[in-house]
Amino acid sequence: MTGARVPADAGKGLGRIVLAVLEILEELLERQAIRRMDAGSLTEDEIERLGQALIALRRQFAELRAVLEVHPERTEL
Amino acid sequence: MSGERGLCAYAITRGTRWDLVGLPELRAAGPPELIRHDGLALVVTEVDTALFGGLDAEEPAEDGLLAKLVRDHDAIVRAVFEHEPVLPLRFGTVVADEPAARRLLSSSCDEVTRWLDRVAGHREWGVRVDHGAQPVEETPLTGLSGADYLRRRRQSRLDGRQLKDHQAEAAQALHSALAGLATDAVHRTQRPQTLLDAAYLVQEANEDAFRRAAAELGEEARGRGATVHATGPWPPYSFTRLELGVAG
Amino acid sequence: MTENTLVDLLDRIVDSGAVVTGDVIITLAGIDLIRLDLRLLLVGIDESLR
Repeated sequence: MTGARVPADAGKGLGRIVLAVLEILEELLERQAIRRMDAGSLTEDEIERLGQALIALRRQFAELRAVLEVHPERTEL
Repeated sequence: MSGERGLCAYAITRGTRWDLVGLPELRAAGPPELIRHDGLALVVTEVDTALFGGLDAEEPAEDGLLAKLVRDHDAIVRAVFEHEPVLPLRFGTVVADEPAARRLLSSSCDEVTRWLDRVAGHREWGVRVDHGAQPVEETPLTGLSGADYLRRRRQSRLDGRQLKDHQAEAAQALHSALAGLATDAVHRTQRPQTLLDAAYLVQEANEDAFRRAAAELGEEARGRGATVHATGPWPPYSFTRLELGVAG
Repeated sequence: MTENTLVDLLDRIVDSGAVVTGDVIITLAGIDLIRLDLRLLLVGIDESLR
């Protein structure tokens, strides 16, 4: 990651921080889901639902990212 | 601003081929001279110590004073190095005057002579291998069931980890081969993401084999996504871990 | 292999070279600070290149 200087536009900066935190959270959730799947402690149905939830989460991130980059001033979450 | 006069010292050599040394065009330093004593010679230029005074306040830049001084240092060491073994001194070594220079040479004579014998006929090469950027294989979000999505994510994590392991193995293989062809090898600073940052002291007779191995095995590591950065030939800068103490 | 870049040169030279100690040496104020700064700078350049 480049150490980009935070511009005067602080809203964009804040949005990026929030996004970074959410991405860490997603990473943790995904890791946890895979670990439990590997441990065999999930039913096929639970695996399916976890997977669906993670897909939905990632979709929302993609939208959020688009919003943050295209309209950096609108970052009230 | 004017400070003390001193002699900026670059290297110790035997000085037997000084007449052959083509002196480089220097950017900041004056013309180098030799101070001889006991079969050794100190390569110096006369400096005003104030020259170094503002260095720490300056942003390092290609045309800055620091860059000029470092390039001069390298140019002088290299000019000598082309003709005879040379012991580079640490950048920014300034001795008081000629008598001080002679005392340095006489007190470190045995140690320096041994060192010069050891590196004679050798040049230094550097090789650095870093983890390449992970190829991001974006798992598609549509057309997969939740379970398939999760399994794909697991696979791409495994692949990523395996790739890193393969890069580390390639770096290790590269190092073993190069160290085998070198007289000496040292690991330099380790940075995050760095798999290998080593310097090799290579005898001239082994240089072809060394460079071939570096090219071949470097290509192997590159093929696994690592970045490989080779530098050299250098004077034996990285093999100078000695302290020349002069008792008062 | 090509002409050395300033980064390669600094990386090679800043921390290397035999150290001379004792009363023959004129201690330069700030020179050790430069070494430290450059170390950090080189690591920084590294990271910004990735």
